[in-house]
Amino acid sequence: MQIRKILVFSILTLLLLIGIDIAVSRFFNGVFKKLESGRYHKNKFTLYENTSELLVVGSSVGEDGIYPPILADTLGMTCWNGSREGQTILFYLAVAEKTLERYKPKLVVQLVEMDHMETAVEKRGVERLKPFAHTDPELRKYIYYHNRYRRWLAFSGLVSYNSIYLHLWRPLLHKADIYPPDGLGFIPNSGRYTIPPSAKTDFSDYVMRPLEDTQIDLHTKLLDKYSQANVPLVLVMVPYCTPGPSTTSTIEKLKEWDKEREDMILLNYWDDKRFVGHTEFFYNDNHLNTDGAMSFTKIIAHDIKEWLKQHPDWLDSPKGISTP
Amino acid sequence: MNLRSVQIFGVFRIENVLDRNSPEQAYCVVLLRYTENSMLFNSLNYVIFLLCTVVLYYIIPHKLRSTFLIVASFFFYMNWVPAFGLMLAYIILVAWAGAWWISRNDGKVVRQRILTLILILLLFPLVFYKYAGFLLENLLAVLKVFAPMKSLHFVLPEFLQPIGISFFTFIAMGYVIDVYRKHTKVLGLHRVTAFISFFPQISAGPIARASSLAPQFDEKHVLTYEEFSYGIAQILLGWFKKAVVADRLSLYVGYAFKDTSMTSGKSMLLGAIFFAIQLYCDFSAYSDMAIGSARLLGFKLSSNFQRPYLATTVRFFWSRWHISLTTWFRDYIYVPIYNRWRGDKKKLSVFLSGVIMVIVFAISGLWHGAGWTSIVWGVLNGLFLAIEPPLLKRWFKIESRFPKHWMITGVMNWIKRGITFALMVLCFIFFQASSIRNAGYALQSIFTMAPGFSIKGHFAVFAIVVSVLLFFIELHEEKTKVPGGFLLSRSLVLQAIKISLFVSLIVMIGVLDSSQFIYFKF
Repeated sequence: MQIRKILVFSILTLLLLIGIDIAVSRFFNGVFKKLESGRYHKNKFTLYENTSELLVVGSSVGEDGIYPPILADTLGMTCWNGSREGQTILFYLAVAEKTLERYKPKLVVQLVEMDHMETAVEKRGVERLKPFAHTDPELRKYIYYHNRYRRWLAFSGLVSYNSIYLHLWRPLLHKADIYPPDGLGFIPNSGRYTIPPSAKTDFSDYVMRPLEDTQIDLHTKLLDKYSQANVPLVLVMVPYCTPGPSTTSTIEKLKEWDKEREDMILLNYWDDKRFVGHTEFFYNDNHLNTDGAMSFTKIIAHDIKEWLKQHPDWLDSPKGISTP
Repeated sequence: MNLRSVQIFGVFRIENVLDRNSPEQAYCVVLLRYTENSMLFNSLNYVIFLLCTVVLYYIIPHKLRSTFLIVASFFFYMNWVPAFGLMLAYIILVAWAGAWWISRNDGKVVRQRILTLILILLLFPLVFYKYAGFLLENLLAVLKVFAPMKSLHFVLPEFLQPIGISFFTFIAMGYVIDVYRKHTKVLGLHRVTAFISFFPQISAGPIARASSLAPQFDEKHVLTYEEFSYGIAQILLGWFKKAVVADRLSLYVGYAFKDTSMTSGKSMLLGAIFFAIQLYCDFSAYSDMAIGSARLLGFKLSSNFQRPYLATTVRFFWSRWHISLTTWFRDYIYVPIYNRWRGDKKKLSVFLSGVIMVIVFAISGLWHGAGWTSIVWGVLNGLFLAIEPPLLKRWFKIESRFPKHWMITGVMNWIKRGITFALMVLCFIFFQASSIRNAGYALQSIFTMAPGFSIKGHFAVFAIVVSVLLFFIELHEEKTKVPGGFLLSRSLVLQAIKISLFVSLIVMIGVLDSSQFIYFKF
């Protein structure tokens, strides 16, 4: 009798849960489809709609550090900044896959950070893209990279729309989008950074950390994806405000690739004197404010333009020239 | 040495695997790799394991049930790192043999000597895994003061300690001491194994006593709908505390404590408050899930947390926080020292009682972590407890001046709760900071409201919303005294609706990535 009661209760609870899940899925799928602004709309655009000649991909340092109109004007290409806050290599791979399925950009600017290849592959950021795993099975291998079993949970609307309400609702609740209409994916940030008196300045004791094998594999995959599609790639190492160690294992690895590979170049602004210590360009230690973003984008645009002047055939045949 | 060899030997030097600036971070990173597909209480793997264990437990004959639980417990424990099973077996064997040896001797001196030997043998792995690095580091620092030598350089060992070693060592020690004091009868190897390795409590408590848990293995448990409901409700409450509150708050706390010298005063203050709530939810969630899981098997584990932040004094706080550990320290450390110092006197002076309190809490701090921050945390708590009685006397004098009205009493109680909570937040800054210096930066930042890195507002909004939700649940529980009682109903249909809605709520707003429980590292 007791066991029967437990079974009835368990089955009833399960059925109710399935019912709630279906209802939640339908409701949120509808909301998701109707989004016309905000971060998820931006991701939808980057993954499925964008056809700009120059594609910028990165994390928050790219999202608020690169102002596409400057790149577009300087290089004479249409440009879209597809960077998204909190994202790392798994997102970059997803963007590469979806972009190359659809069209071939003329140039891709990929932002990199000083220690990304020395830390374990981050999973929280990419799991923010869960709704895409719900609707696009091809993206499950990236979004649930860390746990194969959880890919099965992508069927659940409750799981897929878990914890994303801020970015889902915000564009619906606040008409004013965080993205300016002509910013092409750029988020402006104001404020000036104050370096705390206790900030570390002496890095003589800094020990180079080993690279993570998985990170190397995934980054190599990314480079190969663009390379196989004959898309030239510019890796941009972003600047920091406070001084850091003169180099890191990630930077050294990127330099190594820069020497070895002809289909990519590295623009390293890590310890660029135009930024280190210039608090007027930052709103925190490694995120540029709008003034900083304008200056930084001008510098990148200029450097890419110079590179293309010296190597006019690179855009058409990135593997065909030798990098100095 | 690679990660594979870690699984074989169970110990390794962190620097051989990763080069991280903070050993604690490295420990967590490595542990996370192992726990990715392991049986954390908030993981799908554990749900499957628990379901299979409960079904099989009630299917098999009563005689075989405790043996089955031993197998299930070792499977559960060795799922983390198989070699750690050897450590658990060692502790069980030493406890069993030690208790048996003590029971075979009547002479007080002999029994005392055997007890000392057994306690040393039980504590050895804990000291080795947890405190070797800390002890060597401090020894080296002292040596350098007295004999400054530039060439004096050691690479300090850092070992991945077996999960829950502090807990099952204390369970085993408690059992041996109880046998020595003749508070419990000596148990056979089978029973000692079943009770020490019991999987719901093995990785983070509650620290069970032999006298209450061991006899339950003889009882013929029958799964009733009522017990099932209580068990499920408590497990779900634990899951809510962990996934919705603790892990949500940990995002903010992580940013706030990442570099305390850079965090702004406002963010640091919120981070410290959130950490106090996070720690409570994280640990009590584990206890709730442990107690609920045991209840599904018909076992009753002692309550470990009773809404500590609703306590009106520090003393009450400690009677509600990590009760099984606090009572362990009281019974096995505080009372013996108190009795020894008291001698023939009737009562010990307030000052000396306070000194004992500080000593006991310093040891408790050391139990929580091999570092000076943990010791300072313990000492601060001890000091608060020591100075509280005279301060409370004055407070009561002030209180007595007001008319006895329920509203005034209520306001007074909430003021006391606020003060107690503030004191605990202050202590927990030391608990969370990676060094005394960083704790100092955090305090400086809070008290001067320093400018610096401010954490985005929406993190705080989420954290506040879930904290308020928790607050109401706690208030309800304070009235009913039933953990997860708001999920229960006499009507089966209504209870199914409540539970399915609550599960949906957790899945919708919780952090669902099987994050590590903070207390596992103890």
